[in-house]
Amino acid sequence: MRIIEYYLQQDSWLNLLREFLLGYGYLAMFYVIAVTAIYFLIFGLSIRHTLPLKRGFQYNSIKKLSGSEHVPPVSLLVPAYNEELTIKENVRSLLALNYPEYEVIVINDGSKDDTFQVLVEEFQLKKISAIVSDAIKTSKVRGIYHNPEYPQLYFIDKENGGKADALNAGINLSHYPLISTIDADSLLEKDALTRIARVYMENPEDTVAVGGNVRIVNSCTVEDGIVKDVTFPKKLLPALQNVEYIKAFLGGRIGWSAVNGLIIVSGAFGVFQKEKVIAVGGYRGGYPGEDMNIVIKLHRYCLENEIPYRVAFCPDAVCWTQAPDTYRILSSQRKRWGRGNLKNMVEEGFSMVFRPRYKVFGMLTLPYNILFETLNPYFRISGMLAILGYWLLNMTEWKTLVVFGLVNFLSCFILSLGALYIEETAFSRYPKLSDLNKMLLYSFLMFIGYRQIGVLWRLMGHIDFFRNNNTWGTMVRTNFNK
Amino acid sequence: MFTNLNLAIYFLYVLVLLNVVFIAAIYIIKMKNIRKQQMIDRFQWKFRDYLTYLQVNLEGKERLRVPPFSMNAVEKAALQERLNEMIDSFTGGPSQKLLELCDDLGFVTKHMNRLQSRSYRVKVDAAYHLGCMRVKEAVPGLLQFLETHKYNSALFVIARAIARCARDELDVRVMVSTLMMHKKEFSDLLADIIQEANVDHAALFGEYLQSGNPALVRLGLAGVKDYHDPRVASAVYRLLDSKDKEVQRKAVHIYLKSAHFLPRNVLNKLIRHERVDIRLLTIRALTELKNHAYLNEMKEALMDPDRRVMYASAVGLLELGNEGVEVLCGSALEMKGAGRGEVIQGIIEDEIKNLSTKLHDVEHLARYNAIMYTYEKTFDKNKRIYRIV
Repeated sequence: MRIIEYYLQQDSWLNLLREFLLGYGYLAMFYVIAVTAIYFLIFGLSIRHTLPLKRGFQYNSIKKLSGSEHVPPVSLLVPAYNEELTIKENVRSLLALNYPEYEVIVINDGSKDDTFQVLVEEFQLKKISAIVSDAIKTSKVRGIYHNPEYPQLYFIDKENGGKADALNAGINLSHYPLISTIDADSLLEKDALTRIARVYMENPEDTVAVGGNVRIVNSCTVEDGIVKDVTFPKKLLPALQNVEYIKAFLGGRIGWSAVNGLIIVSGAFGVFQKEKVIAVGGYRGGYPGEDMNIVIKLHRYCLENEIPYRVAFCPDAVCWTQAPDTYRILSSQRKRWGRGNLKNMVEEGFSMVFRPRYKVFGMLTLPYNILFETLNPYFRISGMLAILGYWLLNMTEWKTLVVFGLVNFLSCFILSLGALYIEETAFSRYPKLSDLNKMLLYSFLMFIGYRQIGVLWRLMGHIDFFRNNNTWGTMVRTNFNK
Repeated sequence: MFTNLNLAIYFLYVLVLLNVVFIAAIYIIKMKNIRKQQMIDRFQWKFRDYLTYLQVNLEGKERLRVPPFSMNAVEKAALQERLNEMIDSFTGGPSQKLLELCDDLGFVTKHMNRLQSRSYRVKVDAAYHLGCMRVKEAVPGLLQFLETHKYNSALFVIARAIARCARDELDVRVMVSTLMMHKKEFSDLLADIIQEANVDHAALFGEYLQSGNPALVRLGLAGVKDYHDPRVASAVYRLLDSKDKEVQRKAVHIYLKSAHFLPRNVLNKLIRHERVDIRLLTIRALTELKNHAYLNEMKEALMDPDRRVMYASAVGLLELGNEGVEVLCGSALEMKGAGRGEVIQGIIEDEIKNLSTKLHDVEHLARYNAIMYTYEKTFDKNKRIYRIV
């Protein structure tokens, strides 16, 4: 009798679990349909806007504009922390840009290596007693350095306060109405600033920010701070990140900017209206993800104050950046991104989501970001567990799993193909056929392990957030040409 | 029975098909790009002699001849691109000869026909090329295209084409008024476009400055911002009190740059202006003028509530030779104890330190001695004064 009771009880538990899993299955299905629909919508917009964008940069003479007196002057802000290996080359490349009026402000954020000495010696900089604006509060500035022989170059030496704090210090010293943030491990193409300026000049009043396109420099040949020979990365991790970047920038950001829903302007290269950045209190310090945070704050500020605005994306303005090539550094970067994303959603996103007042940003961008970026690891992991449950409880058969698996894979793979289509139609930066073969191969390989581990890193980033782990993590720089 | 799985399988077929189509499209585009690049490379080699012929004969009176061999579509496009670049690089006779060559090659007729095409893509491409070739006959068609065009990047491609082809000022005016209908602020870009037109820019921008339309005033300001002509100063004078902050800032900037002499009443108004950026602009302009007549105004600015103005004024006084340095040192001593005096003293010391590293240069040496002498005389009268010779 007891045995029968035991089995009956077990059976009711199993039935309950089955019902739960079935309910979860419906929820997951709607989640996948919704996320795929938004992905397709954004990719469709990206593809639709590719040709107009191409016409914009193909027929608007960049060469002519780079010599024009009418392009707006820009202050380039280069925050540097332990960048002794790349800073010299980076600054040299920035000083050689084809742009009529600009200044380069390097901010040494209390580096522990020889960043300070390297720069001071290389450019023979001397301490000056410049008076700077106190528009944004920052950590203590130890000194401002300058050499009249390099009139465009300023160097701020300050105590460590994080990337955002360094950018704020740069804003305080900057002399021009536009600021551009550039990572110290990145290289700008000579005409990148002119290309962004063209987009800005078409509507300067409304354009509060313009993001540039970030490409991976690993395995490319760099001479005098200029990328001479574009080659697809030879190592596995940079290669995977390369196709990931192409997909995110060309497949995603073109589409988001078309509906004025861009949530991020990459910290590696973007241009902002200084006045608006100061109006929102500058960069938020003390936490990663400051590049997303500033864009969210700009959206909020303009929408709340009913200021017409746009956050644009300029895919032909290229900044080459070093991608992490070891597991340790990549995982650290991705955990930091996950942590920054969650912090931004908690701090800004949740209070704006699904509120019509915030228009496309509140009704599409933020729901997408919260449901499909921030909460993505939880859906993915619970989904894997549910599949295990369906199989153990005999709720499905292998054929169903294979069909749904393939549908999922192919609907994601087509998005990678869409990004490659945009790349080949409008840019074709990798000239060899073998590069295209590799891009297709790595677009496929992304689904075998890389995406799954990415989910895990993001989840670990969330755990760091809940544990109040606020460190920047591991970041090791190498020389260009490696 | 039709199940969800059947639906998924049908969807799977569609996805497979779409993936295959996309892969095929990407490879076709890639192969086309590679083939095009190879043809362009071959063109460079094949047309080497012809391009040398063009370079050599640009100055002569003889009409340039068309290539003595037939060309395929890619080669024609590559030659056209090269000619476009050359037209942009030359002016006067050589440019005119290149324009005639384009006509002889049939490029003008081809793009005039393409401008009438029903395809938007073809029309924009034709507009761009007609602009490069300065085809005056294309203006009516281009203006018509501009009128119906929506506000995006291509709008400015057409506008630039019109400016390049413009027959007279009227064409430019019509182009400007058509663009202004979009009610967006793009005065700097538009000024840059107008400067491509073969008209009297100064007169046109001057006229816009006098206009009652704020958008045209902004365009006028953008157009004259780099002129150094006293007539421009008088044209922007009335805008110094503009209520539009941006217009006012630009007007002050242009006025200070183009006026060779600043009347005392205007200078006093600007140097005591409520806006910091205006005061800063004024001090920087005085620094560039390096005129002793403004010594008192610069001294007054040392007491400006904004430290940036004070700093700019100190730097300006350092540039004014012995008199300026004397005033600066004297002011630093007077203001000592209030913090400001120490800051000014620091600025002087920075300059001394900076000059001390360049004593191999006679000019710097003389300047170093002069500043050092005044500095030590002011701050430490009992100390012996050394001069480096």
